[in-house]
Amino acid sequence: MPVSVNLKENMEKMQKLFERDKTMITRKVTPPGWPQGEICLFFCDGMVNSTSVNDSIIRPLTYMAPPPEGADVLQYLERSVVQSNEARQSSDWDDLVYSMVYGDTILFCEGCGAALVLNTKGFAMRGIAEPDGETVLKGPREGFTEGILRNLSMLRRKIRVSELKFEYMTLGSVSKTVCALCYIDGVADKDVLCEVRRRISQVSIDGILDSNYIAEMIRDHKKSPFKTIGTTERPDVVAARLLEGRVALIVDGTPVAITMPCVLIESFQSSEDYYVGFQFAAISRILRMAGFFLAVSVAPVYISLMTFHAEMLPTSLLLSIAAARQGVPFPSVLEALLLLTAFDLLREAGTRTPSAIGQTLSIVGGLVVGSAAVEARFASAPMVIIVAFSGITGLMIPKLKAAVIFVRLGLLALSAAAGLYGYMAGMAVLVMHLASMESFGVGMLSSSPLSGMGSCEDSTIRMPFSRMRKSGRFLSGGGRS
Amino acid sequence: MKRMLAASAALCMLLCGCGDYREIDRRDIVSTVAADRTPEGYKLLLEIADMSSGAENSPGARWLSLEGASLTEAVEGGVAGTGRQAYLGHMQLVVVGDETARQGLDDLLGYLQRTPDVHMTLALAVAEGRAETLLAGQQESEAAAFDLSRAAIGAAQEGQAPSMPLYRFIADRQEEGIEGILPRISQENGEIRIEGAALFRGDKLAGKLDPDLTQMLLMARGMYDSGVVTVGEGEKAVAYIVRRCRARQEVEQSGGSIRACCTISLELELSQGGHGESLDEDRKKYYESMAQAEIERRFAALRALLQSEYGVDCLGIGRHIHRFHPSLWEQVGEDWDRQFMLCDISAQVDVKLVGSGRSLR
Repeated sequence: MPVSVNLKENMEKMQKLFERDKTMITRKVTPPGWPQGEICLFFCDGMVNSTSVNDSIIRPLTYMAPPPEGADVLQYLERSVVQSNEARQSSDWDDLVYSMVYGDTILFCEGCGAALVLNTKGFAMRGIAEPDGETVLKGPREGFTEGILRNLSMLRRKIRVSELKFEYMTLGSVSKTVCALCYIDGVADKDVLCEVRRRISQVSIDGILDSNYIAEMIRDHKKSPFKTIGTTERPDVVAARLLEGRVALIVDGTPVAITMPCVLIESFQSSEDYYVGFQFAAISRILRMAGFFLAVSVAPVYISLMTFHAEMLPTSLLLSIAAARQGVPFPSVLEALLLLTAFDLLREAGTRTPSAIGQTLSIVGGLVVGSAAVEARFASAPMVIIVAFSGITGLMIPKLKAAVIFVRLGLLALSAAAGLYGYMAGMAVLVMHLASMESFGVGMLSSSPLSGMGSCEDSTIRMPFSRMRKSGRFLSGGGRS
Repeated sequence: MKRMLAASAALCMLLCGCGDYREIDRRDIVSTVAADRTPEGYKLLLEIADMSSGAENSPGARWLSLEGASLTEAVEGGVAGTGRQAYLGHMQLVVVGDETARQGLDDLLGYLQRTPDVHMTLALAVAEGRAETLLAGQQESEAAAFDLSRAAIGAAQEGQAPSMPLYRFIADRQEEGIEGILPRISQENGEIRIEGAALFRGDKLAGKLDPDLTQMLLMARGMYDSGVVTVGEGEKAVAYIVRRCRARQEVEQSGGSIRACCTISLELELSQGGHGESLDEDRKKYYESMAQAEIERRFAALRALLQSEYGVDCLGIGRHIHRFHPSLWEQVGEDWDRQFMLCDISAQVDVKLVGSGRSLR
């Protein structure tokens, strides 16, 4: 049903739509000498900037002169009276309701078959801060916030070319979440872009409260613990990925942007790699890769050696470990599983508690409980060391947190069943799995999301910028179409 | 694809010994075995690392005496007594009694080769008398095996006894034209001494060498790296430190006899001899000729012992012929034990004095 020319009917409709909703404010204004009588404003309390409503809408309305005879009243109000940076007419009730709950003010006028939608958004929002999960010692410290416009502006400030495109879309049949598909025209792979658009268009869900809702629905290999869509809260990371030809999706209401396609090497990259010397960046990156390998391998290899291949250990080490295991009632595998579970429980508890308590929790959990468990012979000291080492190395690569837990568990089971044969078989399956994975048509083990890019420039190690000829950061010098 | 992956993973699982899962603290870690043959089979004395003592630096030791009709039966029988399986993967030393060695070691070698845990680098030694008696004297020691291993390594480094891990002895046993040697282990006034060599013919003990001749044998076989050569006695003794020793064999057939020549090249440093005198060219020549004469004398004694008394080719002359003169080996290989005793074996010793001890290094 379109907007009625009868103001009373429109008011009743609005009252009915927002029945029992005390946040909806109705404000009637009767301008002096106004031939049509009352003007009615609707807006949501808390979503609008009160100063803007008072000074830019209500005050001009009360002071305005009557419109010239025969003039379009709504157009007169839009162009000559209200002082809003964004104003438009709409006769669609869904649009009006959506705009109002999103902070706009709706203006109804007697005799007009449409309403004015005035931008008065002014809801409270968190300020720009450095993301906790992606802190750097050098480089930009700003992070995305929950407001999409602010996030887009941060991106725009970093890439000041007209080729940077923001395609708006509204997802979630109830939440009506605004999302922006960002890419650099001519740099982003057209096939990837089409595929992203196609998958997003198929998203059907009531509410989207975070970008992960969309990521889970559009990603490849939904059952794999390895992510095929990148996430970040840093605008500089999104900008870098756009420059490398990826596509980003920024979702209103969350600071986490998702980028596609995502290759495995991204999990070992950090934005800081580009803000420090290339030598140090190379060492850091290799350490992260070694961290992943150790996180998934240390416990299974230890179990294999202790239970199947003890002759591979130096005698003095074996005697030391065997002496430490005296009196421990559990088999090594069960001991490892219990300790790994305990470590993950402590980590989870530490993540969910305030930082002050979290530190106490770490100390109590890590030192006191660990040492007490060894003294009480619940666990052996070497196993505590192995699990702690495995856990700490797992924390080096937070983007592969889930993968580390699942892979480690699988390798542990195989190692307990078949020793190093099982471990090697598990690793072979892992490599096969990764080799078979794709993210939006790009192989997960590729060194770069764009075909034809330098394969070794920015993968295992980062080359100096002076030698990066094919990387996305330098496409403007090459052949940006 | 997924089914193939699952099938591959399952196949890999079948390749392993799933039944090998054993907690290390549920096994007896054997560090030394003394093996003696008895009329009924074998008697073993096992030194086992004692974890329950809880000592951090030294694990302590338990001793377990086992008997059985075979080695396997004796070792497996231990499970019934202790409830723990003997784990031989970290065994340091296997000592066999000399009487047992005379009867042959093939049983023991076969058992060690077929037991999957056993390291092929473990040391073998022949005891003077019964091995059990010798090792029983060490029961006071907290870790006899480690002391013995260290002593064996030290003796091998000094050339007092051969370093003969299991794999090398088995290789010599299987190769044609060479006989195996093992270090000798004896007890004197309660102290264990590892010096000298036991010579084998096939798997049976054939004779024994004293430390000096053992050193000579190792030089001739090219198994000597460093050590001390002392010439003379008392105040007139001259000692050399061997920095380098190389050996080469040459064999030729002249007429109906085989002539073999062992060339031994030594680089020596003068360690003890004279006082305050400068080591000029004349003195160097004097000391070189003294060392050369001593080595040649020892070689002659060794050759006489090997050819005339024991009749075993521990020098590896036959192996050289087998490797480099296959047509000759076809003629003499079948009857090599007798041919070896008829061989004309000589030594060419080249000694070079490279310094006067500390001045060089």
